Amino acid sequence: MSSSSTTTTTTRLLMLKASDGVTFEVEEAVATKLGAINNMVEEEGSEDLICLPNVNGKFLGMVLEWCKKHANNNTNSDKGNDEVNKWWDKEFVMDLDQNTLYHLLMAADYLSGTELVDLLTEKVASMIRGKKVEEIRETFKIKSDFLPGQEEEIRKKNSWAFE
Amino acid sequence: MASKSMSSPLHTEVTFIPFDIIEEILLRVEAYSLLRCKCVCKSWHSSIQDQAFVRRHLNRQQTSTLFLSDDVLSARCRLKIFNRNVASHNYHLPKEIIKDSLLVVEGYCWESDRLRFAAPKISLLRISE
Repeated sequence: MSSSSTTTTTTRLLMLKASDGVTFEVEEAVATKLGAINNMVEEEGSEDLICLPNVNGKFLGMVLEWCKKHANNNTNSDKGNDEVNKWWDKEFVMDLDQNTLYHLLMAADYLSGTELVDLLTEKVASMIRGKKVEEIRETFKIKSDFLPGQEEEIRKKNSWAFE
Repeated sequence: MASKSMSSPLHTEVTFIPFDIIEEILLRVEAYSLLRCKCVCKSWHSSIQDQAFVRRHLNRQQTSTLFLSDDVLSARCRLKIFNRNVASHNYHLPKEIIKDSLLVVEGYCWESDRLRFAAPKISLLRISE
């Protein structure tokens, strides 16, 4: 199934299909910012429809939005691009609620979007800084699995961290 | 951009985060907060204790200085740190620090030959005596 577009612009379009059937038509240069897509394109060559059974449409859309922004910014060869990207990244993660952040991180990891994983893990890390242990557990939905007394022992050893 | 065919219910709760991602997150948390993170659960605790993890954390620091908490400045610790060859070989101390003979460590310490996270007390030390 080869594309019939023979216009002068050689941008190839890929069709990405999310787990819930939502499809996205994306320029190859944008989609291949994701390592997983890049591998599939290289391995499977002319395949134009890529199914991504582990990513929901909502989050795939957000990942692709990020890729598109970065791909566009990088085509302008100005030195200010790094600044633009940084500014845009900041905006991108600023208002993400915890649930979205989590699913976005999982999607970015699955798609091997290294830079995006970087950005998102940094954001999650910023949510740990200065938090109490109980708050961190709440954030990550973790239940303490220490035996009675073990936690107190660790707290005692690092008592200054709890002042 | 998207052509919607059907919508499936979204997961509404934060669920299990794979441990390799947790590690990536913890690597980005400064030493001070990591000590508190030790108390979260067993797997976080053992990860933060892990030597490979501490070194990865240390290597991520881009500051040109290293810091050493003064409460662990035992004679043994001093010896270990001041031995330039051992330190630079094992712990990748930036060369310029060794050259300038100024060693400052924040949030890390050596204890019984193990690199650990520690209180972020700052001390300035001259290596050259």
